[in-house]
Amino acid sequence: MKILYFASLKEALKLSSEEIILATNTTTAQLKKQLVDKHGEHHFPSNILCAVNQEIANDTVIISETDEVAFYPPVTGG
Amino acid sequence: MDKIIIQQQDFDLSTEMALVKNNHSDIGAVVSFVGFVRDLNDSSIQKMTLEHYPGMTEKALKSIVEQAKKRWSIGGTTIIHRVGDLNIHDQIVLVIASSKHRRSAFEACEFMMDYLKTQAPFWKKEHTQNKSSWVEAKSSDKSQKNRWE
Repeated sequence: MKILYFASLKEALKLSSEEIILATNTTTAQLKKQLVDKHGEHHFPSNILCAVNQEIANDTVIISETDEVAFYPPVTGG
Repeated sequence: MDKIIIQQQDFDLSTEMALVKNNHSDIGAVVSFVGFVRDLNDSSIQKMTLEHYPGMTEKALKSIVEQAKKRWSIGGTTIIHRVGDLNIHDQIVLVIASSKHRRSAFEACEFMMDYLKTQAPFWKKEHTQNKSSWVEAKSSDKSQKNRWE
């Protein structure tokens, strides 16, 4: 599945998106752990947010292959 | 009518104010907020880049307008947020709320702005002559949003 990254996280990872192979019944917390193992913990501090299908998601949301998942830092618009 | 636009180009406040009021003879109050690029840190900020999450941004702003309409009896609203490269003193964001009476227009405009700052996926990067850095989220923005809960 495709993961999107934005702002400082995108810059730090040098990636705006990447393809990840997802196990069945993976939660957002498990996906984040998978990404931490791949890229390093320092890229995913506790304030990094996760959105599933363009809505803020907590740790327990179950993700499927067809979902749009994004990780990004706290927002600073306005 | 409710208008939500993400765009690179500038906007004109008086045009947008008139559009909100058009064809609505019962609108007695229109409240607007305009945010500008500024340099509060005295660090010679010259430019700013605004990034957003296309799709989710529009969805988040639509949800903010819907929440405001549930809380207050308001008429048309407008949210315009610019993205891309901006210079110091440029306009960044416009929020307009219209209503029959001033109180609900004032409150709805403030509510939408407080929620936009903390919920809509936009990110600012400031550029001085020597370096560029991402703006950190402020806890005061979160507490201003929380007072509506």
